[in-house]
Amino acid sequence: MILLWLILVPFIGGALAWVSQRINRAFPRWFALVTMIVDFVLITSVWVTYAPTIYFSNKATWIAQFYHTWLPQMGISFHLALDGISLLLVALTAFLGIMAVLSSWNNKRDHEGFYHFNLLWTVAAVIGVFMAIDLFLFYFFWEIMLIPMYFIIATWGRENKSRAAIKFFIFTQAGSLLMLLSILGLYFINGNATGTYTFDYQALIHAPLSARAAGWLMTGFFIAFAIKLGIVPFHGWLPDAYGSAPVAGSLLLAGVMAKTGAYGLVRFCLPLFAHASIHFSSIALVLSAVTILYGALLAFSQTDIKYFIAYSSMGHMGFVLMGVTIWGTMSLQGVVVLMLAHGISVCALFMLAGSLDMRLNTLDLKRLGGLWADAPRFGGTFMVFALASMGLPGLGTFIGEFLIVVDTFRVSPAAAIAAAIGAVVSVIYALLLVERVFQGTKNNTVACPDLNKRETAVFAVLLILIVWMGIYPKPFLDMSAPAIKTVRCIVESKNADQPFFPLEHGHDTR
Amino acid sequence: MTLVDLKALSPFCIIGAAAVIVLLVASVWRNRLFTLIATSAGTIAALAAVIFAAIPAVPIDVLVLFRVDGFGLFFICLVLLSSLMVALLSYGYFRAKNVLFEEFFVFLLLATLGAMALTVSIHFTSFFIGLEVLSISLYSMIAYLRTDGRGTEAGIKYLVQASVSTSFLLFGMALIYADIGVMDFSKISLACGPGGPASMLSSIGLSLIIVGIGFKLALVPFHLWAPDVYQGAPAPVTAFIAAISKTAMLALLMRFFHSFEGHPGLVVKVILWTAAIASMFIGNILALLQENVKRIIAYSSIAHMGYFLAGFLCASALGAFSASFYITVYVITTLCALSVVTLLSEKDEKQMIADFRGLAFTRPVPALAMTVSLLSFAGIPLTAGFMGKFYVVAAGVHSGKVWPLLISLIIGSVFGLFYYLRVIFAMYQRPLPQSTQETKENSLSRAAFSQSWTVHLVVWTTAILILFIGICPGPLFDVVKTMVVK
Repeated sequence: MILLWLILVPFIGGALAWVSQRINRAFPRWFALVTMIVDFVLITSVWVTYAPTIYFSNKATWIAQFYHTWLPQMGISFHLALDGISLLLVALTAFLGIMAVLSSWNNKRDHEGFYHFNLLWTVAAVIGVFMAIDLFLFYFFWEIMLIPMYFIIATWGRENKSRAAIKFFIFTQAGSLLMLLSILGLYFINGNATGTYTFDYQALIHAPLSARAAGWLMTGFFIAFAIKLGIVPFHGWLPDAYGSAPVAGSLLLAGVMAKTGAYGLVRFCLPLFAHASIHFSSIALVLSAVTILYGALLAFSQTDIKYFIAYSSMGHMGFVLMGVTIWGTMSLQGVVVLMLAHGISVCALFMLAGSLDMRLNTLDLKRLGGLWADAPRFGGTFMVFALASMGLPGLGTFIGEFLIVVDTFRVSPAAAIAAAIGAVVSVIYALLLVERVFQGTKNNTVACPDLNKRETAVFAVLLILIVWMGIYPKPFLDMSAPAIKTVRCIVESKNADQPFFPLEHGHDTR
Repeated sequence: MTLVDLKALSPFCIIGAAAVIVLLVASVWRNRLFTLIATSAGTIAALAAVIFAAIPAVPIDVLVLFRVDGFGLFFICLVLLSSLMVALLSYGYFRAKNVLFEEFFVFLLLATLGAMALTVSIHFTSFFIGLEVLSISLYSMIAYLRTDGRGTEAGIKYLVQASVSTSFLLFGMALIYADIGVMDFSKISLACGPGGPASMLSSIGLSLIIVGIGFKLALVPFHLWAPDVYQGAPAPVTAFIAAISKTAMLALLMRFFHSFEGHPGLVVKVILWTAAIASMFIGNILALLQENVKRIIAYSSIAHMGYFLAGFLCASALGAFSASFYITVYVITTLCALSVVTLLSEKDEKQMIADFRGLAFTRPVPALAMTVSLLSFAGIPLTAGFMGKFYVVAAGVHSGKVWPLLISLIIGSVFGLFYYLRVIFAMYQRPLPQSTQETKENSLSRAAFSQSWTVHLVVWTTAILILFIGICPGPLFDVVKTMVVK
């Protein structure tokens, strides 16, 4: 039941926030903040309650489930479930939800109520995506999260917002429709073979698929997820959407929505089409390496801070895809940590960019520079998170990328080398960014006040989190370990009865 | 004709009687509210008759002309409900225009009668008579605002296209009759089926009939009239054409081809496949270029007919189910969108995308309803349109024979998003600064707004229905399944 509340709280809170606008303009944001905090407390309480049992259990089952029939005529149910991976991601989502509300606390805007409504509904739908294990329900939430995000970009975005919003919607929608075809294909193949027509994940895992059908179905899923992750060549929407959305929008897009793609790959692509995914792995590795390098290189040529963050974030998603493709224990753990750490660091960067925009009214690197003297705390914070995004040891992203690259090296040294080059390039551009914004000569006459108390507090929390992940990631690794083990068991058992292994790198020895 | 027959036909009798009553009363005593009440009462009584008299009597063949069965009654209900909505819309619309409109309601009832007849026809005669009753009433409805140039133009255009399509139909019927000498659907399907006596002449006849139906449904390449007529007709009449006359025609098409058990011959299949794919592509692409919301709805309805055909052409039980479900959803969504257009067109014809700018600021409820209906057209979850599209795609995947149609559906839907989002985007932009004169006019029309409660009623009802079906489609699922798929 608590799982249902995790989704309902932001849905209801969003509606209330909208209505409350009529009473007072300040109400919606307070409503939104309280709602998100309640949601975060809920998921933390689940974490605290179940953590001990999870850490010592070898056999992974769902931590909690919620089941209700929805459309039994078609075998559709309202089935939510939580395991270690989804718990971490839900917690991240709720946390970034709080940050999203805080990030735009003092901005003046139209439709205060509608804005927070959209914010909360995005969060609710993303949480739904992370917990749904009925494929229809998953698709349902997957689609719902687009609409409020479309409104956020189209209504409150920066220049070029209409184009960005429409591009975002159309790319993702095209992907989802392909996924819908795949879901239905899976549904009917399973139904025809077993006689029970159901969208339930647990049942569909055992669907008897021919190699050819599995290949096609997996492609549909993969494209949808790759679009969300922003994998080259499906990334066309990403820089514009990240760049044009308001701060809270970019933060949710990069911080949690991109993660739904990675989550989908781990939760659905790998277990459902274990064999086909492995067949596909060489292509996926190439795509991920290209994405890492492409993101890093394009980040260089950007003159707008938000576009800069967008491309660097794309590079990180390349790492995530690489880790999932390798599907080793280490690399999957790396993926989970990287997702969390990237969520935090990208959130901080976008919030910093937002604060800068509010102060100086520009994000153009040519018009920035020499801000350190005015705002040392600002500069310091910015630098730490820029370093985090390039993967400095001691910060969370490093752990994630390290685990992924190490595991990749055992399978495909070439891919690992490409990823490492990408990491090196990212060091250069991260330092370049700090240099251009905070050092050098001042190109702007407007004074830049330092971080105020609210901002300092928010960034301190983010800082603590990212350092914690970098120094003591064990709680996160432990939490995700059983779930990762389950996924790997499914993939391995499905491949055990196959006559050959396409990639000769002996997954079974690990 | 026995008492049971009469029971099955009672909805028809009631609607016919209502038309006569409205006409007679209007000739001695003109009262707008009475006309509305009489029309609505007639429609509701007919609905009651469907539920209490007709449903227990079915399935039954009345003469050789009609087959009253669950399928037909389901579509009759849909037609009646939509016609009730259109009546409410027309009342608000014409009252704001301040014209005499009692006769309009007579035409409305007669057109409804024609549409109802189409849904239960199993014979060329009843098919043709139903179609003509529907079309002739529609000419006058479209051109009802005589002083409006566009309306008159649209009326003439519709007249010309309807005559052309009718002549195609008649010629096709004549060819079939000349070849095999029968006029009822079941015998035709027997004769044209494998091993039947039908010759080439019959397949030409069948193709010509498809062309005639294609004209009515505005399938590409027979779609050229649709945008102009949609744009020129008064908004409630546009709703009637888009919702009711198409529903009736689609029901007829389904019944006609159901008798062939999904194998109407190669030529017909090729025509329908081509028309479906072309409609999805051309409808969606041309809609991209429009600035007028009514024209956008026209082109999008062309595309939606293509989606319907994708379900229909699966030729399976699930296909028939999905097609019927899709029509229902499409009708509700169209009514919702056009009721908002009606609301904005009452004073002056405001139907350009630019007129929708800032609607969310000035009139939040209509803007929200329009958003819901456009999202439903686009097939986004939480709205009925999603469920409709879902079932069509499910049926397609299930049959496994219509992949080209499904791919076109997906590409078409992605194109479709562009123009739906354009309208939505406009509504949520800040309104352009208005001069004080305009602001004054605006507040005046706002006063006129509050009077047209009937239109608001339709906006609310349809928008809530869209959301309801989107969130729990179970009830509609059961109704469609029990009524349509026997």
